[in-house]
Amino acid sequence: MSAPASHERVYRALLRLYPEPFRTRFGDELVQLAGDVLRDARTGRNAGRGVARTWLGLIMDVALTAPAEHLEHRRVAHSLSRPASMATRILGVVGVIGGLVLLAAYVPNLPWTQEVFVLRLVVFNGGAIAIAAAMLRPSTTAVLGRVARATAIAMILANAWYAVMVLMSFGRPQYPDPDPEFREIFLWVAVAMWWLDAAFGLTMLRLRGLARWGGLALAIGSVGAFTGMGHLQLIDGDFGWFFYPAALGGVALNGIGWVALGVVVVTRRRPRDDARSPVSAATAATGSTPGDA
Amino acid sequence: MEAIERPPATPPLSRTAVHVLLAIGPEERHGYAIMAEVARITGGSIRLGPGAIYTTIRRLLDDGLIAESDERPDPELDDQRRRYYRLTALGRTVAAAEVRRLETLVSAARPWALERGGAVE
Repeated sequence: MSAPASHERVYRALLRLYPEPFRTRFGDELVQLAGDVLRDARTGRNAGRGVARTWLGLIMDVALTAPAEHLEHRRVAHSLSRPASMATRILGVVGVIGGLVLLAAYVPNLPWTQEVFVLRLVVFNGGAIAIAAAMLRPSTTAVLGRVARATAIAMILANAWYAVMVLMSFGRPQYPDPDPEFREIFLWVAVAMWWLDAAFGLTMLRLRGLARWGGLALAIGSVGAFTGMGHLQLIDGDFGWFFYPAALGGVALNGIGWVALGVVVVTRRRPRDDARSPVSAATAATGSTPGDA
Repeated sequence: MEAIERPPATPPLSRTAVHVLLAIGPEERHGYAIMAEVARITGGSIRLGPGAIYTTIRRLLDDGLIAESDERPDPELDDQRRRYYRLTALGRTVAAAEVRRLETLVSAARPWALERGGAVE
């Protein structure tokens, strides 16, 4: 590898006036562009004066734009570095509990009475709602974007509706109630809930570290869990050998996803000095860093 | 009274950001091409330095008005290290709104501003 040209070394030294994340992100392109501009100056008429004027322009350019970039960097870093408030941490803990309660289905010898079953589902819905609410907090939504915000709101509504339906089914002869009308509504609520949970998980893929893995588990798990819905009769059909384990694994993955996202919300901490992209900024907002993975 | 079409709610843009946005236009351009295009469309009156170009590109990327192109140039035709940028759908909308705003301004000012050659003596 050849040594950098002298103009490149000098210009790289100038670039140290920019914030480090900006240098990391655009340093090579800046050096290349400065090289192009200097090359043009050398090939023009009166090359000596042209190169001197170009260097003066490059220095002025850095002097004028670096302070503004520092101000912007500080503003963004400050807005994203607030530690999670107590309310946000509580939401995260509720989310973790919701995920763990879902995973409790795999614990043998639990007394699965109808009361326990209903309570488990309501706590699971509450956990999902808590995580979405935590993600809707201003410092997070500013970087997650409108689609994620809309998905989180829709997901909250679907989970709340599902919880209401579960509570309404309490005390009926069997769960879900055989009443065809009730059963029909329950079917569509469940469809909305599982698919919006999956969509919410997909929006988390913009993040990094544990948040991304949690989102992925949630997305895949929700689709798997959807296939296990009794109304669809997939697990009892000809392909039950596929759908039964897919549904079981889906529920487990869904629970793991909520636990992971809950941990991300609870452990949100000051991000590293790395706001080089909206993705990393979003990561910082939710407290997840690459090291979490 | 003629209804005025409201531009979409977008972050306020600096003049440099507008120039960069319009310079990228419908193409995919790298930093040097953006710099050259800004000089061309402003008749050489505005020449942006690398710092001005890339701090603006950073803001436009963060605001979702432009995106980095996934495709890389043919290595025989261009430097592989160059990154190309293109307008997003939001960026096109904002550019269109800015053009409409400028058109409105120009059409309002043209009757008197260019009278007898304008202010240029």
